[in-house]
Amino acid sequence: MSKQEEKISQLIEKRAEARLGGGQKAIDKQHDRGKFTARERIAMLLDEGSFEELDMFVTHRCTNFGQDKKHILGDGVVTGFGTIEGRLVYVFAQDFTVFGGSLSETMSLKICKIMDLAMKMGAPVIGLNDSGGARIQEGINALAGYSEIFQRNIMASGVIPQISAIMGPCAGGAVYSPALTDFTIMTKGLSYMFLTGPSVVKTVTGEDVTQEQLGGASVHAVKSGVTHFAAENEEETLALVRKLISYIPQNNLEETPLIDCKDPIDRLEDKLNDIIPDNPKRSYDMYEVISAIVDDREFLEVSKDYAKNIIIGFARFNGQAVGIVANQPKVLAGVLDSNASRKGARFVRFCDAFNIPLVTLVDVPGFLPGTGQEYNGVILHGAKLLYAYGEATVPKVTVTLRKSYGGSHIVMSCKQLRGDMNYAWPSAEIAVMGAEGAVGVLYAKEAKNSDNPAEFIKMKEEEYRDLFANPYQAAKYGYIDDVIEPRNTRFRVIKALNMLATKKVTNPAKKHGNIPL
Amino acid sequence: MKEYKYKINGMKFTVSVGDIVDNEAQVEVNGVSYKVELDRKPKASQKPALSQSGHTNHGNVAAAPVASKPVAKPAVSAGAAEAVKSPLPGTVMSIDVNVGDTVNAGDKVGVLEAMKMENDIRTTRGGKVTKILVSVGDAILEGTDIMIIE
Repeated sequence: MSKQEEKISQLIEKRAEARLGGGQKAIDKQHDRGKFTARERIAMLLDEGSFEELDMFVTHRCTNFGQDKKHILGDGVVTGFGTIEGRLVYVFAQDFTVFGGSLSETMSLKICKIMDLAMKMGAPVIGLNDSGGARIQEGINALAGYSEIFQRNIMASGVIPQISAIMGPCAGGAVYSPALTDFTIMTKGLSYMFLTGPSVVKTVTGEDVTQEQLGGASVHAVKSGVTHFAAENEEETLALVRKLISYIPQNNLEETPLIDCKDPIDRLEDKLNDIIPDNPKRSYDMYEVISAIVDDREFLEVSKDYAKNIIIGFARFNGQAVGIVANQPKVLAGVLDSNASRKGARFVRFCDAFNIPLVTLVDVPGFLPGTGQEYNGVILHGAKLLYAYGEATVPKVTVTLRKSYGGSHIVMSCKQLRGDMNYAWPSAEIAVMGAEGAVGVLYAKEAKNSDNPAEFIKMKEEEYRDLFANPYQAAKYGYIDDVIEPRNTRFRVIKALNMLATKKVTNPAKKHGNIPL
Repeated sequence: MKEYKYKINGMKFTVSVGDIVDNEAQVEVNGVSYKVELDRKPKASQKPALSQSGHTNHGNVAAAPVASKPVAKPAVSAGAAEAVKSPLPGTVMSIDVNVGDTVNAGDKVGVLEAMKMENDIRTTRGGKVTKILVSVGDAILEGTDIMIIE
């Protein structure tokens, strides 16, 4: 064997060693936990054979606590780039088989390197998290490592899409990177996220909670809203990342990917003509409307178990990806409350940042009244959604199906918030307030003086309803561009989006706005 | 929490006594908190776990079941009974079940008129309806217990 060949075989050996991560035993253990290894996950995430790994030979430089005697090639994270449906993405996957995936200074450098590349090239970054936390032996260097990543998350926010999959532990400071990214997907049963773990909680507050109760996937999908998706298993987690990427452009300067649409654009949906119950107090299922109007009835819902009174998610119209925001009359009467407002606002801002047009389906009776909401700052939360819509410069198409009252009418992408095309169904009720409330204010005195106040109020309410609970008052002033037949909604939305394709609006130059956070 | 005001040698002291667990008390003196060990043995079971049953705050209706229940096994009773709570502030339009009925999780048990809408009240757990705490026409707040299911 020549010297060169010897060197090459040495390289091959080193590569094989790096690929083993923490060794066969640790890999078996990871499998026993029902988890895939970092490399297996990347293989499942990316197009076959597309992955190019970087920094395989990196090792840490810590000498504290005997760390100088423990080195593993790659240092606990697999980083690189590859493609999803042919589109470039950057990936890092923490390797739990190496020092429990704990974050060292060098691990952070590896992650930062691909983030910097992603920023230069304008491509999404996907992080697969599975880490015990900071590598304690490294002390403050591990903290500095986290901070470097967070700073990059912040700089990349709104420039390139960032997606975090949580496929194992993610605790302490580590949770902030996913929190800063655009979407978080947690794997049920395998993952948890919290700032302070059960043992600290126990000593400080005396609460007895398990990791799952404190920060499991269902908790964050239902209660806190921290995660946007809770997937059944790792395969589903990674498939969701791929699906999500399909709706999102590479960066903030590109348009959303267009795909071929075989669903006829002028498909009439007769059932929409009588989906609204005759009794205006009865609810119906907004999901039926969404699936009836979008391409192939396909809707990728975001945060589906959190604040279910508002529905957000991605769909396509004539192959063009859009963000859908819709009130859900079936849950809490479709009211806007603090959580629903925050959920909607963040999604609207994401879509605006990445040039994804917004289609808003309105059926909202108002903001939820009560001390609970007011003490909770519903004014500020509602203002977030208002701000997000008003600030957004992407094409905005709004269809009011039924109720649209008062402040909530304004917030849900009304004409004056630079709504581009505002349509209404004939069943729309667009007014400053409901009949009961309005008559109570307008006719209080007269009712008192009448012979039969109850009868009088009822009559006036009826009058008010006939006059104002319809789309034509708003249409009269041009606040509604057209009243459309429900079954033709798909076609009208597509025509509007098509017309708006070249929309250019720029907000005044500023450092950044001051959204009421 | 009990608060006492003392004057010792002309100096004012505000003392508040917080939680007492076993023979250790949390005491705050002029805003600084101290852990204080008590000399006497604590009386056993001074605090029956009232809050465990979850519906004590609705005075007249809930007082009865709490009082009649033996305090011996609070954990078990808390796990077995659950209140169906009002999802919104509104007016009860109808209650569709009776005491003694068996319901499944997700069943519609009544209708609440709120926010210009008739909202179904659904139970999140199955079991037997043991108590109905509201009547048709009642104006109730968000989170109010509507019925107890065991």
